[in-house]
Amino acid sequence: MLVLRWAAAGTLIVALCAALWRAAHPPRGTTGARAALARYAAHPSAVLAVAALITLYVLSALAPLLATHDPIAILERSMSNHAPSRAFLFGTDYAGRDVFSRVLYGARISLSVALLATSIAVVVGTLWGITAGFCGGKLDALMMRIVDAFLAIPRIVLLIAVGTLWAPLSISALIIVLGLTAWFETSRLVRAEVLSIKDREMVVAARALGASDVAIVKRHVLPNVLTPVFVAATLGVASVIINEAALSFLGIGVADPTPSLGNIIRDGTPYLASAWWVALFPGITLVITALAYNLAGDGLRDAMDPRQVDR
Amino acid sequence: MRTSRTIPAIALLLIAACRGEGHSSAAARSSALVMTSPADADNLIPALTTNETSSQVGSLLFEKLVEPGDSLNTIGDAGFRPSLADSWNWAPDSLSIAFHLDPRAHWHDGVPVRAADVLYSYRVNISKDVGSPIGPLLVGIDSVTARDTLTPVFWFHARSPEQFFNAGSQVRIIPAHLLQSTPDSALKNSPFGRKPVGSGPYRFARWVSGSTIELDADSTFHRGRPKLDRLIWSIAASPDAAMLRLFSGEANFIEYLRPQDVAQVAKHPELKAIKYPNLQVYYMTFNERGYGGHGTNAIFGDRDVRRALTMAVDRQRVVSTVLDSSARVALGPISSVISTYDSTLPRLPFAPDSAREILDRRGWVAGADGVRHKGSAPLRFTILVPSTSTVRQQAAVLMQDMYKQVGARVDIERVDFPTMGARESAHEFDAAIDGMALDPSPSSIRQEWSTAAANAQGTSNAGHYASRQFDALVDSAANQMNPAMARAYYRRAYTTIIGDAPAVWLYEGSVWAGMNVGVRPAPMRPDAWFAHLADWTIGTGGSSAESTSVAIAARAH
Amino acid sequence: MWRLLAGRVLQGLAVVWVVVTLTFALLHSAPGDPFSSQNGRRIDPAIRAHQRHVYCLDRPLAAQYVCYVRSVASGDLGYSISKQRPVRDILIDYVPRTLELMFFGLCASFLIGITLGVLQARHRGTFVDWGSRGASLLLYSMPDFWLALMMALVFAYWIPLFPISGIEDVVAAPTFEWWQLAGDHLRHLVLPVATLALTTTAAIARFQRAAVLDVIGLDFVVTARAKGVPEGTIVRHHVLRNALLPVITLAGVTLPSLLGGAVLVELIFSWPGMGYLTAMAVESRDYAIVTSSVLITSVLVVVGTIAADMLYALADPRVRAQ
Repeated sequence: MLVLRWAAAGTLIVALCAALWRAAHPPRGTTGARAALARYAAHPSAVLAVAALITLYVLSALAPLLATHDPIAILERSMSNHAPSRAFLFGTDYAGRDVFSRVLYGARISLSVALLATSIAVVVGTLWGITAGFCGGKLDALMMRIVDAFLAIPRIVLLIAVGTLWAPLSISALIIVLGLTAWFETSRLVRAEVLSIKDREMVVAARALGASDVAIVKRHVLPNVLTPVFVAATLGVASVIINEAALSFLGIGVADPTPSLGNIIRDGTPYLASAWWVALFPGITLVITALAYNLAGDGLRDAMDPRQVDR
Repeated sequence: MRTSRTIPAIALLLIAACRGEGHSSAAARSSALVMTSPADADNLIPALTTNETSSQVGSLLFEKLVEPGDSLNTIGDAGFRPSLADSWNWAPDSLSIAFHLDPRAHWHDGVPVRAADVLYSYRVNISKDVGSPIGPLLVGIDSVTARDTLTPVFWFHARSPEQFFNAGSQVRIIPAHLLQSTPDSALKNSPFGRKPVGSGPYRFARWVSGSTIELDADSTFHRGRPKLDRLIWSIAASPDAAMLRLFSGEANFIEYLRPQDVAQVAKHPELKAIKYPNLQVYYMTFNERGYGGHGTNAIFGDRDVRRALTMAVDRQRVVSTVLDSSARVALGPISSVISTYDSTLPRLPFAPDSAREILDRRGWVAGADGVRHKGSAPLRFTILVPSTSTVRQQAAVLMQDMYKQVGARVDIERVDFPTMGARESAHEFDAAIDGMALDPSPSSIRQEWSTAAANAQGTSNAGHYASRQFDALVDSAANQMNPAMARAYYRRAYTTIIGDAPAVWLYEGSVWAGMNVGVRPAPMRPDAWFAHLADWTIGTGGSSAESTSVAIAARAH
Repeated sequence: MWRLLAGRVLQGLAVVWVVVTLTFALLHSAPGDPFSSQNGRRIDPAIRAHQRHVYCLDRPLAAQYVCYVRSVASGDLGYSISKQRPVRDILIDYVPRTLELMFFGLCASFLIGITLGVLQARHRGTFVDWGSRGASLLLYSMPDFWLALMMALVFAYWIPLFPISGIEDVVAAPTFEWWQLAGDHLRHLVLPVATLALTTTAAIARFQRAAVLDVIGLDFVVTARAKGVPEGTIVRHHVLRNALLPVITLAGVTLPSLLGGAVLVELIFSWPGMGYLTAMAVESRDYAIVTSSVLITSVLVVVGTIAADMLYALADPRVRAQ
């Protein structure tokens, strides 16, 4: 039964990858988004990254169907800290829980939290940057000073402060907090883009013709801003995932017994030398996810801007 | 940029750093007990702290007038040994006790210990500006005077069974000549708290905050030179880091092994695990009030239902599954180590049939889904457990299953310790698995289970058990001068509280300590395993197979 | 030059002021009363009174804000409930240890990062380039606490080269000569510094590589090569001098990430610095320490950034001329 489900999941992954691959190899002469996609697909590492991400997301989304055991059930005391075996692919942790199932569910939580938080960050950062860039003057200076201040605080320290003062954080609160601390770079990027567009002939002309600010933003600013924001967002997801894992590791992120890649590592830390599998596998999953997002982000950056030659 | 030269330079530096393994010779290691603990001390003046590490260090730096013997008998004066005082006299009316200080006792700076120090220490402990946790325990003492330089005299309002205990064994004596010029309210910030001078078997050596506290043996100690040269508290970031130090040999003692750690220690031939009794009792409290503290709880407000819910649990099975077969089931809010323990106390048996019968009788009728209902309310509740304790979590899981058999639907909620404390203070729970560290003094049961404790703010008696009968019995017991009569009263009080079932009494603490095989501990007193640290030795030889119980000889009750 | 410094300092002060406002907002918007008892733990009445006075708790919010800014400016950072000491005294003990870690960490990551970046640029396209770029991307994608755990596992447990944790050999330290103490201290530094450096080195190497490649194709370099100047000299005298400049600005970005990394690395290696203090404050819900940590780290970052800017100005005559 389980094997069938895994086979189905595998088929789904392969199908998705194949579809993307076909989309990335359009006939000669296409321009725009599809051309960008083609450029992207020219890098083997970027392609692998996307394939890895698809695999991770499909597998973790289907976690309830694919897990071998209940991730929360505490088994008999005699089952604690067992090495990987056929029944327990990644071994068991100190409470006798199956690490493989916990990693699957944990990836589900970590990956979705990161994605949602980054979405919040993108929206807030873009709005902030557009407002600052467009309005200029004192407001711009104030808004950017605030961004500078936030950037001067190491992200994890800020997260710890918020997480401790508002402990315990529910998952939605965690997503909001992670999102609201990840938008600073994006706002700077967007503002820079807005500033460079503001004085272009097209925009000046549009203004002269009486177009409203909102219309200008929609027609000229947003399309140009989307590219760097998208790249920054992809790279940003990687760091949000790591920050969430760090918070869960410290105990103020996702709370026990709900698994998150970070708190599984936390569970494995006391037994690092004897039951290293508990800390190893969630860590590898984290690394693969972050690596994939970083590679994808790099590839996107190279693909979106054909002028920037990859040296 | 001299890249070609900087890299070799760095490499050389690293190699040089590696080679200095340090001249910690075997001799140095063998005479130092390195205790690893996850908590740093805060202030070493005993009156100013409740921190565990501070108390341990303080107990070796400073002395009390008398020390409890290993039997922990706190009634009268028979169970006490001389410490700073080598003898004492009672006045014929027992309203005063004169202690005779050991003339050889002296502070680590050479000054002899005098009665003025005792007067000062007592005054500091009752001072409102200091706020010592011991203060409330000294209310029975009217005053302390000095008959001569070596004889402090304690005067009491009235006789009481534990007057000797309160006078001689609550307060640690601190040096008046070094501290009395500091106003009480400024004591907290005094540098003395970080660099103390005491009269105990060990003198202060150094304190690297966050890292190390070291005490060195005082060879001129009035009761003889301690056997161990150095005591070192090696502070680790967490219990896990502490365990790693034990395994890597950087430390040779840890006072508490979790059940999973005991198995790990067995795999290391140079380590052994030793069991010692302690005064912890674990139980699952029922919240007799409504959620939030108002009104009466629909389920737990009913005494018979509580009894039924206790009878539904096979406590022996829970304890032996979750701990090990030698763990003890708790009889009540008492430990087998305290002097008033009685193994013949009546207990509620494991009897699920009786439980079902009682529940039926009280109106909780089985529904179609297997869950009992009384009217529209289901027999459903949540057990609160700390997320860091697997033992309690596993116990909750087992109990959840047992409750299912009698028609109760139980959920388990895991929260961290601070949250659990907050929830209990606010009475925002149904049932919670708690642990309590008992005092050696049996009258301290008042602080935990009396009606007054329930009404006070704080985590004591979070379930709001309120029984006038229990309060009265404990009060009588605590005021009873005759030890046999006192025990009888305590027995009746225990019987009452066991019968009222305000909690399911789960297990008593027997703790495993982990140490290097060469460490030979002296008897570890249940209320303070570190009480006899001065008598410990570290030798060569010894094996893992030595894991035994360093038990205080079981009393025949 | 001095005008530049003054300008930067003013900017820095503005940033710090915003951070102070932020911590004030955090403390006052958090649920519960951060100044009163925490989790049932009673607060000493004397401390309570002191706090009432220092933070003007009885006055309206605006007055409280002024009081707060004033007390922070005078160095009073509150009282730690979990350690029963004023926060300032605790920081005096713990911050220097983190500064030490930062110093060695910065040096190590810049030295290695710059070297690596240059190597990658020089041998562009070869296995050295791809291989080391891949390795550094991998390191860059690792959570620092997990890397720390793996380092501890490999280098302290499986191959016991280095101590697992702490800052000193507790048993032997009192008997050491000064040079043994230094050696012992360095030994304890290796693992935490290595962990910190590994993650930041990757970022620096990426940047440096691009910077070198920017310069290496420029006319004057091509000319020098045509004149027969040896490659090594070209790299050292012409390329690096120009390519190093942008990397200095990286210091402003690496500092926050190093300080953030220090929190978990110090925790795992039991290195009693400010990060360790912060991580422990989470457990005990010590709000004073946690907010002071935000303040101190941002001040450190601001100071470091100003220093980096000054260094850049010193090195680049074009900036000075402005």
